[in-house]
This record gives sequence, C-alpha cells and structure tokens, in this order.
Amino acid sequence: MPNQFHRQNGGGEATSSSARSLAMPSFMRTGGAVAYLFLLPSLVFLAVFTLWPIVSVIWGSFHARRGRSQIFVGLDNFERIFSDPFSQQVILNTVGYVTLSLLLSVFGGLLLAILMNQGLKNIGFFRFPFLATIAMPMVSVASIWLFMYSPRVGLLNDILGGLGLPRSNWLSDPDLALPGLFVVYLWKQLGYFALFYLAALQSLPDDVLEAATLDGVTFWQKLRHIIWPLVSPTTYFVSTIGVLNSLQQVDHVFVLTQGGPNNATSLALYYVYEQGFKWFKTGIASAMTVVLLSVLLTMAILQFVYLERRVHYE
Amino acid sequence: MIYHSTGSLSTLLANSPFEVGTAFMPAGEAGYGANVGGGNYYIMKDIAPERQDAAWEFIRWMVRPEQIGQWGIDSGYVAPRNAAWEVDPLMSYAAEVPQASTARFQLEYAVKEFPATYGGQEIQVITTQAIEAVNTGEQSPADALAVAQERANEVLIQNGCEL
Repeated sequence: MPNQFHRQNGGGEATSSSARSLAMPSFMRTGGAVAYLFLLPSLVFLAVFTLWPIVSVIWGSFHARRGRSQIFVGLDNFERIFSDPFSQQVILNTVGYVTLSLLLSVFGGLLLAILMNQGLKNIGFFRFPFLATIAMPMVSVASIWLFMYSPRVGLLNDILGGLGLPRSNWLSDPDLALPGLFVVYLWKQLGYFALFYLAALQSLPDDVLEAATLDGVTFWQKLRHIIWPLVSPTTYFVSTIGVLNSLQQVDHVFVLTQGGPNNATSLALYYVYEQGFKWFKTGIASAMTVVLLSVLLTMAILQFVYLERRVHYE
Repeated sequence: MIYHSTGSLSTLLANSPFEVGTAFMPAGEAGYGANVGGGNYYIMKDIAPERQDAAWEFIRWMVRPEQIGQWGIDSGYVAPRNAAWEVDPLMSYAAEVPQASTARFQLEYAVKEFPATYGGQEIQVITTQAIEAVNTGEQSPADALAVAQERANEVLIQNGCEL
C-alpha cells in the first residue's frame, strides 16, 4: 500500500516524441475541447456530489431558518457552536476521540503488526480475528457490543461479577460511555491499520535487520532506528486515514447511545445529523460541517507539507 | 418497577408470568401529577367542505364510547371519554382488570399535553438530557431543570413562539 506514494518521475518526455509521430485523427489533435469532453462525466459527478455540496454548506453556515425562509446571520452559527456548552462538549468529545484514534492507530497498529509478523507456526490463526473485524459492518459490530455492555446480561459484567469485581453500567455512565464507544471503534478498526503495517514490515529488507541483529542491537533500538524510519510512508498513510476514519464515526453512536447520556457521547457527525435532520437547524449543522471541513483541510495541508518532507522513501 | 406509557399495559399484562400492578406516579410537594399525550385528530381548514364533513363523521365514529373502549382494551391506552367507561366492552373489562383504571383516575391530576409544535420534539430531548444529568449524578434536579428551561425557551423562540 505505501507504494502508492512513490512518485513517478521523468516518464513523460521520453514517450511524447514517439506519440506525436503516430497518426492521430485531426479532431483529436485540436487539444483542449476534446480533452474536456472526456473529462466531462467525472467533472459532472464531482461538481454535483462534491463541489456543489461544499458551496451550499458554506452558504448555509451563514444563514439560519426562520419559518420557511433562510435569513443571513453572519457568523452567528459559528459563535453559537463555540459558545453553547452542549456543542462545546461535542467538539471536545470529537477532538479526544480523534486524537486517541490517531495515536492508537499508529502505535497500536504497528505493535499489532509486529506481533502478527512473528514467524510463528499457524500465525494465520492469530492474524485472522484482527483482520476479520475489518470486513464487518460497524452497525453489526455495535449491536454485538451492545450485548457485551448490557448491564444485566452483558458479557463484560458477567465476567466482572464472576471475578467478584464491581459491575458497571457501561453505556449509561457519562465517564465510561465515550471510552466504551472508542473501544468498539478500535476493536473493529485496529486490524485495518495493522494490515498496512504488516505489508510494510514484510517488505522490509532482511539484510538490514539481520545485520542489526548480528551487531547485537536491542529490539527497542531496532524498532526506533530501523523499523520506524523504514515504515514512515505507511505511518504517513495510516495517520491520514486514521484521522479521517475516526472523524467519520457515527454508526456506533446511533446503535449504542444516540449521543447520551446527557450528550456525553455525541460526536461531530452525529451532532450534524441531529441538528440538520432532526431539528432542521441547517445553519448550525452547516457551520459544524464547515468547521469539520476546515480542520480536515488544515490537517491535510499540514500533513502534506510537514510530514511528507520527513517521510523516507526507498 | 417501571415508569412507562399506559400504552404498553396490555402487552405487559399479557406477557408477564407474574401479576402486574399499577399505581399513580408518587406525589411530590405539589401533590400528584401526570403527563398526557397521544395522537390527535385534525381537520384541515383549506380542504373541500365535503371532505371536512367526511372527516368529522369519521372522527365521531372513532371516538364513540364502544370504539375507544375497545381500542383501550387492545392497546392499554386510556380511553379519554368518561362515557366509554360506562358502557361495554370497557365497563366489564375495567371491573375484571382494575389495573386498567389507574391511568384514568390519574387524569384528574394531569397537566396540559406537551405541544408538538414550536420544536416540541427537540424540547423532549432537552428534557430527557436533563433527566439523564440528574440520574447520572452530574447535576442537581434544580440545576438540570434550569438549564433545560433556558434551552427550551431558546428553541421556542427560534420556532416563532412568543414567550
């Protein structure tokens, strides 16, 4: 997978002279117009399903519904999002969720991949459970976990009770509910991130690692100074999709808590859905979407400019 | 013990292997209280007169004492007319199943129905969140209700209600 970041350089010039000598119909050589004609199908879909919604959501973020009409309210929606304690909590929930997800998808993913990469007998047997969860839809995963978290008949409380430990009301406790959702996400998604690292580890040059072993370096030194720099393209990729992935989480909120108790598990996307489609506060929903978009865009630029420079390509 | 809609009473009675009793909500300092709610019948003013007449006739048929009495027996919802309790089938059912009458007698202490207009659904969620805040020990009942009132007022104003 990291191969997709390899840049293709200097292929174009060599072929252009030979291409010109091929007999082409004259209409194809007229340049621009035909090229755009071929691009048209993609452009139409891009415009209708990506560009137009962005423009419309930005417009919407400066407006509020009054009865059946939309009136211009300037930055009111944004001010509201950052001043209302309930949306503040949503933002904090989301920031915590995404940060934790970023750290754990990189470090947890790498650790899991290293474990899965051990030359053990029947390693496939140990790999399978982590990779199988990737294929499951989040809604079914969340439904399974709903039973595990259930206070009276749930597996978790059964185990705790059996060990004589105190039971918890996992999803109704405001301190446990969001971590509970995060565990579900991590359980399902960690194998996905580990898969990329596993591919990267398996393509590592054996001679370097063997030389290091012969020189008597510790496992930690090997990890820190050899493996970590060599898998940096994967880290770049995993951190990017890790953030995107965790920001898109909404299914398990629906199934497990619907944002409760008292707003403790509301994440940005669920908030957008609730405001926009349940209460028809399209202005607030659009403003939150614009905030999300800006954060994503900023991060994409930062990651591109800063991380890309430090990524080691072979 | 559950605090639940009377609409689930028939299901509970039919499916419980033990005897189910019903009671009023406990009284607070201001005495008993009960909230009511349910589907309403509407006739739109802009439709043709003959359709209005037909709608009215349908409504009168639906709320006949025997009709809402049967509906109350089958669902558990409280029949909202005294006349329904004085004729069969509901009269003999109430004699046989005294649990069914609890909600009826509680109507005496009922407050006005929660409006479905002016963002009523959002206000229901706001109220739920206040109850959750109290149940989880995050806020005192007074604080939670003060927050809920403030947020509800805002929703009401946004939806064009004059406070």
